[in-house]
Amino acid sequence: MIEILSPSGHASVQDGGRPGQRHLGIGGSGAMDGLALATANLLLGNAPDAAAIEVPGVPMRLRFLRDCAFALTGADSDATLAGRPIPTNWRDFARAGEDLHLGHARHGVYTTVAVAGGIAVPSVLGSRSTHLRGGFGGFEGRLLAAGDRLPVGDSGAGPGAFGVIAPAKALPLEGDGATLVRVLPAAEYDAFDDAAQQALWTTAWKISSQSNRAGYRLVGPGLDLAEPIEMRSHGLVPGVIQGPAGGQPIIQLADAYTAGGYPKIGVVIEPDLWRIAQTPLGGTLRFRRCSFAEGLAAHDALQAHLGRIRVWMATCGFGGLAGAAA
Amino acid sequence: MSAAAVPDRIAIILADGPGVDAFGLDVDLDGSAALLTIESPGPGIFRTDARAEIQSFVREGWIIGFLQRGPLLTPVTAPCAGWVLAAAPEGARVGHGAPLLRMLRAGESIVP
Repeated sequence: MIEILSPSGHASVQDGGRPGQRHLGIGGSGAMDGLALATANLLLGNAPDAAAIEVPGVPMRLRFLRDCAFALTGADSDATLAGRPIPTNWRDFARAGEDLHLGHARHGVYTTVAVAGGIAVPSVLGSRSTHLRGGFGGFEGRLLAAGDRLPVGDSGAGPGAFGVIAPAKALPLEGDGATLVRVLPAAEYDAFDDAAQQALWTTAWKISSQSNRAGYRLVGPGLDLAEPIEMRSHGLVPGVIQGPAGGQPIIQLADAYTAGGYPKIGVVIEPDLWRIAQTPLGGTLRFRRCSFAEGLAAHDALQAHLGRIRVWMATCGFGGLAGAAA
Repeated sequence: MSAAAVPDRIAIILADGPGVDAFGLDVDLDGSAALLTIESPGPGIFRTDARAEIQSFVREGWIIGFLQRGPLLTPVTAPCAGWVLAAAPEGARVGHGAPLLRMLRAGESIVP
């Protein structure tokens, strides 16, 4: 069990997401930073998509009610365990009664707090993720609050502390001060005028304060269509960049609606969505055009990074620390 | 002079002023060293920890650096409470036993 002592405003239980329900209008939810979730679970020997606590960059305190291996990935939030500083991208071990404190995020936005065995809330429609709009999944279908006691799954993971290099070092993508992500032109790309197409690739887009797990609204030049088009609502996936007529683009993210009617100018490739998740409000994004093949190569590079961690854990004898599943 | 008049340890305040925390240490006069060298437990690349800057105070068991092997980082921890005085260069390739950090051991009466 873990007890939430003081909650961060929008902390919630998230896992790898809820696939296969879009035809019912139920989006995927899941961790904003999927790489952080996968890394934390790898360090603990959990299943790659096991549920964890996602903390969006503001202070939070929780207590381990039993001895428990845990991992912190994603944003660096100046964490301490019983007063002892804990790095990010790190796996460590808490004794029963010890408090974990997260401060304000220094680098990044979302911190993943994972535990060996995973957060064992009931699975709803194939996922333990909190579906905030629907009010189901996760812990009682809502954001975490002080006094909540979260069940933890069984694990053989024992004591031991080690970590991994930051993903931005392992998978660098230089953005000239902005967060660079790779984008495929989407179905209506050619319907936008030349200025809009140009602006997409050259603008340093600012992330507005009207941004959350559902999507980020960007501030920059308005994107105009070459001529008006009539569109029916169509399916959406995280990463889609919509261009409302003459308006500011919106990037759909983890809690994206399942359908929308705005024309789509591009789509951020899935292996780069974690980069967006870790860019704070007010930060800037740049889009670099990529091909389908480059998108697949980026996916392979991300998987290779995780594979390399797995191999080195075995080489360094950390496989046993990670528990039975490692 | 009787032997009892000779102290077996002295406390030294290194810095103390407005806006400056007392920075002091106990020095045992029985020969036990107040200066420690933390050696590498094995081969790897030394990585500094931004939270254990030079002159920062650390407690026993706190992480003061990392040894990188492949994508993995293993902790280099403080063997006692004290101050980090010096560290090997960030990114230095080190072998087993190479000096990684120097620490000034804090005496029990000084530990904040």
